[in-house]
Amino acid sequence: MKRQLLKITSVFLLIFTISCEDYLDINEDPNVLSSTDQAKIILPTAEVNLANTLMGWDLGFGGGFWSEYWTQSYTASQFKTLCEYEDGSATSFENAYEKLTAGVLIDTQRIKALALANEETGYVYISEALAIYTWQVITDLWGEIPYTEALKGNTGVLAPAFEKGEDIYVDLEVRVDQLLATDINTLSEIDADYDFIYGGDLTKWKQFVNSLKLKIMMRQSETEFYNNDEVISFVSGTTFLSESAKISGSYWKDSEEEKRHPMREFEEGGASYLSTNVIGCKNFIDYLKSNGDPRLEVLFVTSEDEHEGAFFGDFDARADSDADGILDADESYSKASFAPDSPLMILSDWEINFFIAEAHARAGDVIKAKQHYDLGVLNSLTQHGINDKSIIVSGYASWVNGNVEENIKQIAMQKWVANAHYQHCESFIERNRTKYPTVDEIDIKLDRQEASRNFPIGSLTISVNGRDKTNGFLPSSPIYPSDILGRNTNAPGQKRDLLEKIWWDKKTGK
Amino acid sequence: MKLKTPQILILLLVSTLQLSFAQSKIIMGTVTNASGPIPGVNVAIKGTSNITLTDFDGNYKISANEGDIIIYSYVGMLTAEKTVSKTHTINVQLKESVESLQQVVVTALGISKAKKTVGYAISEYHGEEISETQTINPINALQGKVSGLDISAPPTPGGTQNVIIRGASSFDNIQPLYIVDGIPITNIQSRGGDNLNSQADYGSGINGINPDDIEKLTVLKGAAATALYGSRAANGVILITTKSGEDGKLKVNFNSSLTISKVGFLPKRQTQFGQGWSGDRALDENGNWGAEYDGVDRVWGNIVDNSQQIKPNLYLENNLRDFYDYGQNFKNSISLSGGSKTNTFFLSASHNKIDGVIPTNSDSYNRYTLSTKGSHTVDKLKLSSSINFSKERISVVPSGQGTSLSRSLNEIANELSIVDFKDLENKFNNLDNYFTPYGVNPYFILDQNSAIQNKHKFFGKGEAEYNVSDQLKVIYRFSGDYESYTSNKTTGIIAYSEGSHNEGSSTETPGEYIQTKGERIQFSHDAMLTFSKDFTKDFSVNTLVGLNINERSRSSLTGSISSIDVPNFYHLSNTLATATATQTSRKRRLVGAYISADLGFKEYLYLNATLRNDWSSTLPLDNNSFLYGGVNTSFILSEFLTSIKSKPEFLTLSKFRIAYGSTGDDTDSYKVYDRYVVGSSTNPGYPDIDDLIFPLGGVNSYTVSNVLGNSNLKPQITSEFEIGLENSFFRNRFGFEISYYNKLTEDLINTLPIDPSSGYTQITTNLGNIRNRGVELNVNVVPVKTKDFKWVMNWAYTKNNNMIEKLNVEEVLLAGFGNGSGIYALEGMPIGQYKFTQSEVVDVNGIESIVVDGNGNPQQTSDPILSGKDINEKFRAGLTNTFTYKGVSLRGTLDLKYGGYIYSGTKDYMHWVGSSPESVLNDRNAFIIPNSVVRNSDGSYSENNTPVNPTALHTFYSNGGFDGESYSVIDKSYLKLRNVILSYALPEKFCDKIKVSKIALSLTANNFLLWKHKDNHYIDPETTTFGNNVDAKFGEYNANPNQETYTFGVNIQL
Repeated sequence: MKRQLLKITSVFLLIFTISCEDYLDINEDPNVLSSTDQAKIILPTAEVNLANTLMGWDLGFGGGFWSEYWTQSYTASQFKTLCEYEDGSATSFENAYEKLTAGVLIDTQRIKALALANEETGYVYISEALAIYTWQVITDLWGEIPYTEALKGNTGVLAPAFEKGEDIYVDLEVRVDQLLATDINTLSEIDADYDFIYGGDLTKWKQFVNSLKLKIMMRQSETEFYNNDEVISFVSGTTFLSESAKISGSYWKDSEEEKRHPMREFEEGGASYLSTNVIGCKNFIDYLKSNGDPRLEVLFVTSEDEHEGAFFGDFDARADSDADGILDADESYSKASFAPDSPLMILSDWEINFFIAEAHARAGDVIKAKQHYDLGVLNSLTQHGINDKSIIVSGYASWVNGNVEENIKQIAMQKWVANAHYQHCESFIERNRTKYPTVDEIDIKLDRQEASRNFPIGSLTISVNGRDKTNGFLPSSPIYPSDILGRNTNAPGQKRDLLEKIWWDKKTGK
Repeated sequence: MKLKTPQILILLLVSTLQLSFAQSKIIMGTVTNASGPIPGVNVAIKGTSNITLTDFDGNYKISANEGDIIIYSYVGMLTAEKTVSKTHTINVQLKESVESLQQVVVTALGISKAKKTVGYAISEYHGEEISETQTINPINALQGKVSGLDISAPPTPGGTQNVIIRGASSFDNIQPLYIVDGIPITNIQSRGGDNLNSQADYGSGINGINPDDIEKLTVLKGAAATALYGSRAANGVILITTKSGEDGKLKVNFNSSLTISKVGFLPKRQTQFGQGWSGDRALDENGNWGAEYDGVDRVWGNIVDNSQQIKPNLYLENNLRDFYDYGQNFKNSISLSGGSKTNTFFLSASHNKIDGVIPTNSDSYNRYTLSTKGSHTVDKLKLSSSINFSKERISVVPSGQGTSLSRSLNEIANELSIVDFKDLENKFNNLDNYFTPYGVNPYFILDQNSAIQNKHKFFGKGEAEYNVSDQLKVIYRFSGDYESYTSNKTTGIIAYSEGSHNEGSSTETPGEYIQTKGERIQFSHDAMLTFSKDFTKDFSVNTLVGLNINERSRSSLTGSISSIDVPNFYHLSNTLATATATQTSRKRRLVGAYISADLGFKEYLYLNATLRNDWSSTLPLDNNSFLYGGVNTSFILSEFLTSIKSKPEFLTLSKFRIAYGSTGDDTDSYKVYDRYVVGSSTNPGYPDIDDLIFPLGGVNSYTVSNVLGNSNLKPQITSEFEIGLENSFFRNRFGFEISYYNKLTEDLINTLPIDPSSGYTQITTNLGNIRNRGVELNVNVVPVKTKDFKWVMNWAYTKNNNMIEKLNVEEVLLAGFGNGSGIYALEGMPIGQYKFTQSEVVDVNGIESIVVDGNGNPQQTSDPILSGKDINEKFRAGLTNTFTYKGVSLRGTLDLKYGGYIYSGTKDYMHWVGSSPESVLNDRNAFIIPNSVVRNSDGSYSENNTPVNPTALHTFYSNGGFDGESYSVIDKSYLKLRNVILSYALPEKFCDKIKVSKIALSLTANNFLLWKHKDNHYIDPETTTFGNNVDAKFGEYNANPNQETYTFGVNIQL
């Protein structure tokens, strides 16, 4: 009897335990997609997120201010901290870091993994190219970052170790060379709808990878690792992108929330950041104005007869710098303008032409330098929809055969102009490499009217309010986001200020 | 018909009394107990007001009639009754009451036990104590009364209580489990907006209970007390037993009250400087940074149609207070109960209608409750059921940044009369011509913006109890709680005419409308088998075996439009852009099996042991089972001494108890697996900025979620040791109960933000260990007790020490802002450490110096740093005094919290608009920050000579003055006169005459006195706008003010 009872109880318990297991197996979140084997459905997010980040809140505004295209308006204060070089949360570009790592890079990694499992080699190729590109942006901005151990949260690595920028570059070059060695004809096809950049055209992706390799080489121009001959030999015989890698403006629906170009969203979304917080900066506006550059009218709008920009980082002043009877704070400054169908640029055709031009200029081949320089400027004008090429032919942008340094400067100055409203982050990084535009040390606060009369057109100036913060230097790199410092036990200490240089930032100058 | 019998009886009784008065005689005697005569014994003739007291020798004299019943009563003694016969002498020996020993308390699973047998702390409150405070939410009534219980009440009618028992032992949910008549209640806070924006607190599930229905409320604090409830009770349990019908007569209980409320504490402001900015008077400014008041009549506001308004340039003391109205609350509740030997029933209905102090009915609360309970006994089977329904409509004025009411009021200079903006048709008050483009007319906000939730809640149970034998009983219960709600939030269009004064103002908005519909469902099956037996005269056993299955699910659907087409029409179709929808649903299950055994030895030693195993759906399947339990014992010294006949006279009760218990806890649903979410790219920069979200160009896309699944999650286990002493002396004239507890929560589960370099930004994981240790003390004293007058004092004291003993990461942000300022958990420190950016301080030649920038203003540290302040108070104490004189009683409760800090967004904002009292330092003339230095380019420091610019004081103060941003973290100590209740019960005689059993009138005042720390000029420190868990302790962000209430109540019982 006792044994029977025991048996019955055991059977009963077994049934209970088994059914209990099923009963409790309800922990898959019904609100999300729990799994997929399709690499392609992640690709659009990776591409759009990358492009959106490059011209988004941190890098779009930060790059725009630090490249002195724009400055903070007198009557609002949203971006004051950026414009006075405050080393705080605004200048760590935390959101951009998070989007590039936990957004773009984890997505490209997953695309690669899913595609490899399904032998979709085309997606492997694209996602690897995007990953290399993104890694370069991150290390060019913050310098020493987690790399080898990064993106391994799902294997338990929650505090990845940091690596030196130069070491990361070494590996990026290895990775880009692996892609270059791939025969694109052997790759699987890409669903055109899911590739927002090149519509699944692997030939264009091959050109993108070539261009990426060039960009990585050129960034090291001031370091011991740079070999101009190698660059020239790579350039000759290589086809670079002829179509900018970008998210076309045709993807936006400007009348709808959640579907706009980021800068349009910051303006139209109801927050009016562009119209209330951003005004044209005198350094950029005066350069375009005095040189009759037609891009001024496309980039900015004004309610006055002519465009006017403000001193960089000067918002507490109660002065009338241009002595026109209107206080600076009450002037109608030019305002940044973005068309509803503006594209988001990732790697531009002008950028590549300017790199090629620079390599040739360094090699003393002024003919090829001029050829690509002219193409670069032309690319920029075309991007703005400007047919008038007179600035290249007879205007201020026409090629002057100067010495190597002068030629580099001319290329850099046009890159500065071309990048406005498209590649603010790249503009900031490239200025740190080339040191063009140069910095004029004028202390505007000493005599604003004098500064206005004799403004150093074609130079950058130190933020009026941030001068003491950086001791008269421009920022060299953002500080580390507190996201990393507080969460990663392997993180180094915070940077002392915004003046810490990236390893390739070797050229003298402010 | 039933009602008639007692009425007739009463009539008869009254007439008999009148008849018999003529034959009265004097009765004399002595009242004694085992040790001699007792002075001060109450001697009364039943049914009359004829009362006397015994003298020092225990003698008394009273006139009575033959057949009268004399009642002898004395505290701590059993009441005796004697019928007057022919004799003139009646001597009485009173027996000691063992009432304090026989007190029955409700314990876990609703099991009643003699309090003496319970080996852990248990606090119990009677329904009357709760209903007499006239609070809407029953838990509010406990403020200042229960040791070990931390209750923070919201300032708005119908809002959510934050209740923490014995300290925070988790980083997220720390709310207790509410059980009403065996039914677990869904008590999730309903909320609109978020901490910083349009925050609207719609209250939680416990609000659906009518306080007048409560018979008893029991607080189970420790792990030993709650173990049978399983993981859901890890934060303690509040057990509510509602009234039920009894065998016998029909009872009717009617409560009615009228409450007037007025705005409570309002910030203190500077009275020196008028409207303007940068030191200049400016008529369109939202700040008080202008020139000093000069009393001269001056124009103000915009010029409209060539005219402008004029007023004296003077500080207006009450412009803010005058803005608020008197609020009203009407309450009516009625209950009927009764029954027979086999049937009982209870029926109640109530209605509360509240309009708060903010003008218009935009802060209002309307609640109906219906409740029925019944039981039927057939033979050995008892069937019982209860069904409760509530309907709530709550309207809230959202708090936070942007164009909230709080902000709008703060944008009005202290010299402007706010009530004069009321007429929105007035040409000076409309949107276009309102005096400032930086703020919006507060009356427009009230008129156009709303946040309203309608909620329906059903909860109930069906229960069958079968007595197999005298010793064996089987119980099965099915219970459920269903909530459905609809919330509507509207934001009116703010648009300005071209060329108008306020054109281009950043307050412009295309309007918004959001509707959320949701439901929360919970049901449980409980099956129990109980066995009890007295083995010998001295040895008894009670055992309990049970199974509990619980399922909780919730879902919601939200539709929103963010661009209104036709003004004032709020519907998802009235939009200029496509409406968007979001959808969520969650479900979780829990299975628990438990066993409990009580052993009793003689009348003085008791032991209880429990064991429970839970299986939770929220943990990884192969690790979802966890076992825990506890042992507790109680030793009644006084009984033991009695049994060996050596109990001293003064000792009424002495009980020593000791307990050890543990409870496990799981986590929320969906923390185990990885996932993909719809592709998006974030665009920060609130307000009104949307992320970029797929689909784009007709293509949808997904992204790897930032949330990393954790398949290694373990349950968190809390183990608690508790020891206590309960003593009562001099027949309960003096007593105290003291408990010490030491509670360690291991492997506590929380969301851990992780370095995005890992590819993810958060994971839910076992993070570390947290310990709460504390002392709870309750003291009762009856200093005076005479025939008619009694004074009772209750003092409750709590001290809790919280310590995070282990943390697997450097720090965890618990609540705060996007820039990292907030409250943190750090190893080796109590929970909730404030970190804010501060003025940078360096040591220069041995002097602590503030580093200033080129404008003479302090430089802020680049990252938030520890400020040495935390959320934890040093102690809490409550003192309740009750005075009764015949039918009149006066009760007052003082509630003290000492120590701890809170963030005040109101302070921060008042520093920006220049209305804070601190902002008039040095009469706003230039000053150099003492001991300030500038950093030279070579890294050295030199003395600063640049004064803080008087025209940019808004920059200085809004960045935190001398201290930096941590300046808004202020001491939250307070002493509140929580409530004062004056009540009067009409004499029984009168009640008898009009055939009712009780009529009581009461006057109650709540929250009308507040003492706070001298540095806190800004807020009622109880206020929060950050949810209702640990994060709520962070503080407030432009919250609405609290209110004082004054209530007149009537209670009639038939």
